[in-house]
Amino acid sequence: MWILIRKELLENLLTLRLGVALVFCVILAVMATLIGSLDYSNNLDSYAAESGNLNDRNSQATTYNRIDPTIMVPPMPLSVLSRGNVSTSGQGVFFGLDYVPITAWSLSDSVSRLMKVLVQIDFSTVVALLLSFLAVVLGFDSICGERQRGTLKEMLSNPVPRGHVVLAKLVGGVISLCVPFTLSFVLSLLIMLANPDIQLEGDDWLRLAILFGLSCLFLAQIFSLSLMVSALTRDASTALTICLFGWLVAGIGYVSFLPSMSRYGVDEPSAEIWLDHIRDLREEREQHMEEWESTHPPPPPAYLQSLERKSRVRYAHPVGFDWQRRRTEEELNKRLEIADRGYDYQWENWKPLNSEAHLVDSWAILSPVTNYQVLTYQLARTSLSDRMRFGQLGRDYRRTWIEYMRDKGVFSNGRWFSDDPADQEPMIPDPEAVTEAMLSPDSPFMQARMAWAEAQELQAAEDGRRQLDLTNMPKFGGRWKRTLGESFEIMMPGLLVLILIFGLSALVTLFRFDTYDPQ
Amino acid sequence: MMTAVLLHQLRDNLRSLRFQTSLIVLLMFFVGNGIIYAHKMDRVAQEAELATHSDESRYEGAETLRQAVSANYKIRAPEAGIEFILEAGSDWFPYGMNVSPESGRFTNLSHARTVNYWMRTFEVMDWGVIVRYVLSFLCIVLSYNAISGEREGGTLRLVLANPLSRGQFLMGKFLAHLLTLSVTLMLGSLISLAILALSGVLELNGMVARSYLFFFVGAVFYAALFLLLGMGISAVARTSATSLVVLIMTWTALIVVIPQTSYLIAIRVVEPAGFYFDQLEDFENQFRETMVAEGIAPRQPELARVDAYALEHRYAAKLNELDGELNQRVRAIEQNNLRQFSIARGVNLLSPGFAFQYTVEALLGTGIHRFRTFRDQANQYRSALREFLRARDGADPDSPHLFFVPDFMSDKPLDSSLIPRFHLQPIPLGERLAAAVVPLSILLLETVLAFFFAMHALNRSELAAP
Repeated sequence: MWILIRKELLENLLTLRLGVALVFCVILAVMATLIGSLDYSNNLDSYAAESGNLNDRNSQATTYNRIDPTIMVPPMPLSVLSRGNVSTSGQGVFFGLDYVPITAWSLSDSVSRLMKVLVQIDFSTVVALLLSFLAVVLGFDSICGERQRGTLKEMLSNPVPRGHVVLAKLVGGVISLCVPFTLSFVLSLLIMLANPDIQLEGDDWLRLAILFGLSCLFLAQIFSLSLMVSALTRDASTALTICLFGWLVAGIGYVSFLPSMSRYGVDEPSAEIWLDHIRDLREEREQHMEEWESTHPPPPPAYLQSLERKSRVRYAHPVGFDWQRRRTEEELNKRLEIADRGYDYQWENWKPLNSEAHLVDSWAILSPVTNYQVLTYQLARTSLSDRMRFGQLGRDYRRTWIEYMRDKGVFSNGRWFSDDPADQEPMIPDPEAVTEAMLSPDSPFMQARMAWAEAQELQAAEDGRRQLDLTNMPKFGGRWKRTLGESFEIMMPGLLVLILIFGLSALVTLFRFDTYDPQ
Repeated sequence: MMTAVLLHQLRDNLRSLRFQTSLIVLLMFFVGNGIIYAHKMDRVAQEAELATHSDESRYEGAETLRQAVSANYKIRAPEAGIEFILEAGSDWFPYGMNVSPESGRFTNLSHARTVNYWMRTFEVMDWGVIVRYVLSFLCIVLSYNAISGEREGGTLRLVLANPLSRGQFLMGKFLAHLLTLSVTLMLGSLISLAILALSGVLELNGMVARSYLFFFVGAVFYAALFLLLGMGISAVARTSATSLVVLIMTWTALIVVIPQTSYLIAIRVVEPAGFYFDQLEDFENQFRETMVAEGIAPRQPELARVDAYALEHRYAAKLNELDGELNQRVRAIEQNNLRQFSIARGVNLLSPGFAFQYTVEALLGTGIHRFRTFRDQANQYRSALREFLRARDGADPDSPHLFFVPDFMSDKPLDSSLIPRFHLQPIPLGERLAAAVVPLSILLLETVLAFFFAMHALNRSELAAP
């Protein structure tokens, strides 16, 4: 048996075709990882910049309406090898009072839409397309080719069981395939380790080990399939034709067909429907506020004069402030209600799009090549389902955030839009004495009051009472990263199919070879 | 004698399993294309109808000139109608624009129809992809043992013993392969056309015929390139198996790998704009706050009339300044994005697949050319809209004529059907041809090089296997 395996190994490894392919695969895999690693550093930088901006903005906020509750997380280290749906960029869940988030976005979605037509390469693609092709080339003639050359007959004249011959071919082939793969994998790993930005942490090492095993299993499966074709055919050129076209259809063809196919039969509603709904909701809100204002008339304009900077209101007269406070409370409640309804409309509209994208992942199971690719995405936690999970956690966090503000009374005490302390002197101390002409922005009176407000602004910057106390504000603590167990749960169907195809094709080859005519 | 080689090869091809499978696979792809696009074009047409309705309602909502100024219009480029030949970004490019004539608003590109952001980027199943991937692959599969196979079988020496030059032998074989593939391609594309025409989504007119012709000629040149490459390598390689591996690896590098690096190269060369809306908003807020701080704010119209809108004139001038600055910034970002994409296109051009794709895109006036045309015309549309509103406002003696500040323009009723609508003008043929020059010359150059390579390889090739 070992002699047979050694013979297969020598035969495979010493051929020119393996040499050429090896060089190609290693170069491409290294290039793909290098590009991924550079891209990762790029994306990490832009993540750091974006989240730094966010923190800056939030730390400068003195009213609650200036707080941007967006959650951002850094890119996944394993995305360097398998970009998946999230790609090597960080992710963010963007939301606010008016908007309930549906999903997490990868931060690179902000790159121009023109670029969306370009397909990107990664290590898993190289394995899925190139190494699988090598598996095909190694396997297609290993039985029927030997028959044609006559060596099969010679070998079988020795006292070896036929099952051993097949097993030796299988083991020898898989080991020969693992040579270029291991080389590519190790080099890719070195490139990743050489990049100080890529911090492998937690179970990442375990995931890498599983990725290695998974890829070997995938190559074994493809090799076993082409061995099966070789055992089922009589001559090498037929086997080659079947294998090549099988590879073309299951690889390139299926990869390209899948997204278009997943849209077939799904009733994709136009975004116009949802956008029209949103417009209606906005009108409803405006109308609601008009109605409220007609039952709660505002005080005269002089009471409402204030200094508005970055949607923050200062120096309003207490009477005007009180009216604005009540108005804001009414409006905020309406906005929250409308946000929930807007979410329902949007989800109703986007649900088919989401299921289309999910179908791409679930139908991937039908081709070994796409199946492997999706498995690596799930392993690297870059699949669509990982992204949706983060979105769900963001939705939960929004609720916590709003609850927190409600508990603090932010919506009703005016802290939402103003940071004036209780004893703040208003911009217009005696509104009764002000005429309409005096309120004109270019009147000397208003100019003087504006100058006063500007002077106050300078002092306000040092006023500690205006600062927000955010010590108790809930931070996002959702477990947005799947644990290994959870990842395995979603990988299960794909893994089963992979092993099943491998086992079945090996069995078919074994049985078929038992009655194979070596003549 | 060359005809004899040609005929012999044709007969061989037709009988071989390889060719029969190729035929089936190619037809399968084209049938798939027909079915997918029959569905897609139908859906797109329905959506376009809905969108037209929604857009028109925005025009109709403007009952007075004032409303017409403050309204937000959406304009879109219609579908080119040849997406099944080349999708060329019609799914992703922002073929829509939000336009408002009001001062201080900027025009921004947006999607013309539903886009699924959850979808991973992928190659769409148009004819372009079928040719780029499948046809070139078939070329290789048909030609990888054109010379080495004959040498291994010992027939090469016999054939060349006849009064037949090596060049004639090469040409005969090459033309036979090209002919079989062209006929297969024609068959496949006609089946796809038939599916689309029968399902009622495609009207077969002169435009489609012209596009078909351009596409077909481009595809034949592209096929020739890969056939010649295959025959050349087949003459160089010792065995057919080596030839196949070398060819497939070359094919993968050229067709699959080079285009997949273009994205990453392009975003490294030209920095993406990022979330620029935040920055624009910050700028605008700051600008408006400074205006308020300087006391430049509109008053009640009755109050303002007293001094002939002196303050409001300053306000309008400031807003106009803001308008100019905002639009200039957005234009700069668009320009940046276009430059980034041209870098990616430049990288892609290294792949013969994209030399073919971009040649046909240019000739058909689709892809980036169509997008750029749309962008330019859409940006001009705002000026046309403003010109119209300015003229209408001028006709009203009661209006304060503060242009594009809605509260200080005419309040007279306006017949909304008179507001000019947006119509995308097609790209003239001359411009399309000019745009095709670069990719076409690359494609032709590569084909000629492949021809000389094949000739040279065959001339130096051994006649018998060692």
